[in-house]
Amino acid sequence: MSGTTGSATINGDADGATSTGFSRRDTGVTAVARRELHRLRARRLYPLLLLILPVIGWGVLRAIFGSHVARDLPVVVMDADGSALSRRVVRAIDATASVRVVSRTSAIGNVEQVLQRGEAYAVVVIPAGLEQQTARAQGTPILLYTNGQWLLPASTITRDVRMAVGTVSAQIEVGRRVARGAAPSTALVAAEPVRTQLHPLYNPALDYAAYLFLALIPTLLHVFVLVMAVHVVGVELKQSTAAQWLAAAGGRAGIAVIGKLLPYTLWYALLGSVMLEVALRSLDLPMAGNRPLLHAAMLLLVMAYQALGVLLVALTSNLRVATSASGFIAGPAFAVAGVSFPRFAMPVAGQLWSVVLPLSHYLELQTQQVIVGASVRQSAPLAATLMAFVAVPALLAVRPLRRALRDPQCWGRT
Amino acid sequence: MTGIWYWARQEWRAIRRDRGASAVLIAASVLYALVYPIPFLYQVARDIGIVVVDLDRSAMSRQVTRMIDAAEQVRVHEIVGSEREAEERVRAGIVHGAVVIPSEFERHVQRGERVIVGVYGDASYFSVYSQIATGASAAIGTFSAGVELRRLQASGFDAASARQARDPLPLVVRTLYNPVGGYGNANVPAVLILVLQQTMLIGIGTLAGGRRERSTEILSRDDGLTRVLGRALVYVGIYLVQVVLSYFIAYRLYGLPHTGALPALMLFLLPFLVATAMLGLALSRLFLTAESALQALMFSSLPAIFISGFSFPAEAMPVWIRALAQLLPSTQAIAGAQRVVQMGASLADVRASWLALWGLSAVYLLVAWGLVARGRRGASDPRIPVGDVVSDR
Repeated sequence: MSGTTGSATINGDADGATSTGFSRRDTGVTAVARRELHRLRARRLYPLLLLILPVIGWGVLRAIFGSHVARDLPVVVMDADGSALSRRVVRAIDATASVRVVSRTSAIGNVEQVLQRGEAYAVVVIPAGLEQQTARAQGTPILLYTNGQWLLPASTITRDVRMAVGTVSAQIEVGRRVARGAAPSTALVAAEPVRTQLHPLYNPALDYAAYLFLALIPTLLHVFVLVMAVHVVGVELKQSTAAQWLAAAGGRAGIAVIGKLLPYTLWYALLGSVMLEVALRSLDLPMAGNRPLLHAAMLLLVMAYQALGVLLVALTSNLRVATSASGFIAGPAFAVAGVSFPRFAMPVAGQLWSVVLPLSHYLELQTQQVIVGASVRQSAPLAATLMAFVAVPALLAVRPLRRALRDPQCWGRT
Repeated sequence: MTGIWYWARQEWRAIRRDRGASAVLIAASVLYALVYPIPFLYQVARDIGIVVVDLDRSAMSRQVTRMIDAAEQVRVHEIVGSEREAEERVRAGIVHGAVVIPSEFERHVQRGERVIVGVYGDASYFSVYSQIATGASAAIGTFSAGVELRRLQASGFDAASARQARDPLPLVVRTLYNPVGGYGNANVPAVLILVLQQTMLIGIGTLAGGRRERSTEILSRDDGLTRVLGRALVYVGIYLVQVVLSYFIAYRLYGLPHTGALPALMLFLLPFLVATAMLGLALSRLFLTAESALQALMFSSLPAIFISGFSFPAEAMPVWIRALAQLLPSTQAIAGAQRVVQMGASLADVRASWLALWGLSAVYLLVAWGLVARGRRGASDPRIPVGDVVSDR
């Protein structure tokens, strides 16, 4: 990752040394990697961070979004009319995919209280006299109260209730026109001369699994990549084993870092790709773009956060402080990455926060390749950005890391 | 009681001596409250760029275009002559959507034939799509209503009865609470509750891990209960202050909508803080170094926030996930706190959540107490404390 990367092919395994020690000749990337794999067995933390916790996190998120769309959202109906028409309206509302009418009262109660108690996401109020007044063409509105604090249920319910009531309304209007002697087809047209037809591009079903779950997979992974990179480098300083580590690399800091991180690079890139592929397959989600590019980007994402982790340790020479810093970087990353809230709608400070995170660029590329089906050329700038996120922190880390690995004053800090 | 105060004082001293733990317990949630709301200050995306594919080039199509451009959600970036050009611009990310006005638009409208205007929005980002759909369909709907009203009035209706005839069963939608559909309003309060939970769990684990690492863990001969209660008291006290600070920062400094119910919020969150402190004390048995709590728990914010149902509704989740969600103090706390602070719910309205949080407190108290008692019995047993074994050589 830094320094003498040209010697990355040195194979120090010539004398078949055991994994516990190494001779003078047995130095280089392989020796460091072998030393690292041996260390892996020492603590329960490693299998947790490498496999168990990522898989648990993946499984929980997979289950959360497994239903793809929001269904059966509880809605309370207050029907003061109790007529054939009001029952028809309630049936139409209940029949929509997103709504489940959980309670139906004939009195108009306290709407706010229903929402404040969380009994429902919305309340439909049908005023008394609806049927009569509609028959006399006096137009009494039906009221839909939604709770905007829960964004997705509010917008889904509004859309579906609008559609349901609108359909009943159009049927009434068509009926009237036909009664006045119009042919049913022309009556229908007159009811809505210019119609809007909505086309959600790339994700026509507005599938939350495709939208959020897929983006959460690399987000989950990047936490582990960063924590692990910080740990494996930082613990050598904390426990004052840096000299021994450096010796296994033949005194070259670059070899030491590459040999140490390489097993994790390969492992996490593989894990991330497998988690993505299993998600796509098990949820029947299409892959619109280029698979090799997607997986290459996953590898770059892993390397970018490893480079950042090394930089954090090199700058602080303190495992605990570097771990805390990685918490502040990775913790809020998803919210500012631009998936759930668009980057262009943020203030400048928010946009800056977003663009300095490698995750933002990776997620943009993943969305382009998995959902939109953009060309490789179109995603190339994002891939190049990710490469820069590997190279820049790695280069910045070179000097402070060399010092930290050699200077005993940087060791043993807690 | 003196025992409880003794352990509370011990714990407070230990926190003050441990810079790492005090940074997490005292500074972290304030820092989050200060920086986290910034990206969402504008609440919603406005003036999202779209193109209009005007295949008619008539006075009427230009009128529709102007009406769409006037919608606050969208901005007509360009008028193009073919759907292919529109598709290219959307795919290239120059604009996020397109409106297609078909050829013969004006002629069809004048002849009373139905015309369909297509609205295409980039649904790879839902917030962008929904803004385009809302803005464009409202503008087109207004245009359509105007056409129909004119038509009805021409055939002898007055304006009011024309409106009635057009839509005999009108629906009025009233969005109570967060009427602008602001993302910050919905997201920030929920995340700040989660931050309280996560920083407390990690902070308690950091302190306990650091003590164990330095072998300064205090083993005592008491029954463990006073010790657990005393330690929890300190964390609940610190976090009541954090609740006040977060409240002032998020709701006053950043002006998120609120009903000003700080005392109610503190009372509601009390069992949340107790439950989290107990859970933290129970979990802290697992950590043998100062940083392992952060390493093991950092990822959990992501599943914890989504499992709470604040974003994707809980009704759509499988039963076992909903049950699992109830084990996290954040789930009930997020739902209840939003109701108390932003919707003006009374404590009676959120009583179910409040009682559930006291129930969790009791469960985790028993777990923490049991583990402490086990640790005490095992004080001379080299296999205990259980959990991680530090043997990085």
